[in-house]
Amino acid sequence: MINLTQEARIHLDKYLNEVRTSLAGCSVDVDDILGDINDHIESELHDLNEPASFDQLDEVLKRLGDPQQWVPPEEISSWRKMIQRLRKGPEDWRLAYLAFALLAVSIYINPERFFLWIRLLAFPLRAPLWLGEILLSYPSQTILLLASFILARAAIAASRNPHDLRGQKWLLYPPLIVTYILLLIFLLGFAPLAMLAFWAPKYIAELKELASGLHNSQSARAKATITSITIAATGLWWIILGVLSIPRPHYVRVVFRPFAEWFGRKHAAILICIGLLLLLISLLIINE
Amino acid sequence: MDNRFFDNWATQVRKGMLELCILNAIKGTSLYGYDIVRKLRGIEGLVISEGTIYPILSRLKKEGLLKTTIKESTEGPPRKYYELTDKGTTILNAMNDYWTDIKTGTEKLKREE
Repeated sequence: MINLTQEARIHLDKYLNEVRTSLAGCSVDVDDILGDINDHIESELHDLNEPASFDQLDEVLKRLGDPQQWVPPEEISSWRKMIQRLRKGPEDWRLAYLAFALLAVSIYINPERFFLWIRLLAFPLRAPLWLGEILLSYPSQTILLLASFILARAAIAASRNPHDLRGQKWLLYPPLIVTYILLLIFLLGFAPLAMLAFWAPKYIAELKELASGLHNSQSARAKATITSITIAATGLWWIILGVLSIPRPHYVRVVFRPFAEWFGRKHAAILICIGLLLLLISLLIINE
Repeated sequence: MDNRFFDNWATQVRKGMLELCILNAIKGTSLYGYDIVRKLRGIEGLVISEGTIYPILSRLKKEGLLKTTIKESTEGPPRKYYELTDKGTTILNAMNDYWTDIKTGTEKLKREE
């Protein structure tokens, strides 16, 4: 039995608990190792004539090292790895788990509304119209999703190798993908509609009726005008986005990290071309 | 020098070498854990945390390369002594031969520079 002062005894008990926690779930025999550790400390301190002090014990424990570093990561179970990372880091893993947890909570508090967003993707023309209402009608879900996104981006920034996230991908990509899809819908679809709503509020009401299928009362000419204006506004907006992106493609890469590393001036030019095509289509519709 | 690259590489080298050195330290004798730690302390750069040796000893025992016996000690409570099993001796010989081959090849590459 090692002869220790009260303070040293508490320090040793804390260390041994840490050994037990760090090695639980590994392929090693924890009790065996704890026995070896006690023997080791006994051997280091057996020459002392009086109880070993905190400092004397601490010197021995420092040479033994942090138990978390004793076992290679591949020997620790996934569940134990997750708990260790949450307790002690590294920071990028802790943030990744928290980001995923927040996304899970945001889905859990209102799964029906969350999956409504996913259904809207099946109707891309309708999605921008209802995006604002959906985001604002359930603010807690939106805030949780935003927090999840921020933590995911922080995890990528803290990662040692942001271009090779390996296992972290499964935790980080879901909140990122959900947020980026919403952001794309906003940037590419919602923004031109928001501009039109500002200049012509009555137009938005008519467009919603058209999108909902409640357009029987409108003339073919009115339908064509509404459709043409929508397409023209979208086309013009995409041209503006393309023109703004050509000198600064890295802004797009930063905003949509890590999915847009491939974005360059060529793609901004393609966006402009699509915008011009939409303008052309709108002219054709209005001239029919 | 890029310290991070070197540190990562050194960690990988240490991982592989520690098992070989532990088995070689025990070869032909019977040692308790602390004795093994003291022997390996003398090898520069091999042991960063002395505690890493104990999970390795536990794993080698589980793999059947080591066996333990409890012996009385004049300096305190009974101690657990480690020694190689027959399987451990066979595997250690194979590891030493492999290491000799790697070392010879590496030295040859260095001389060719």
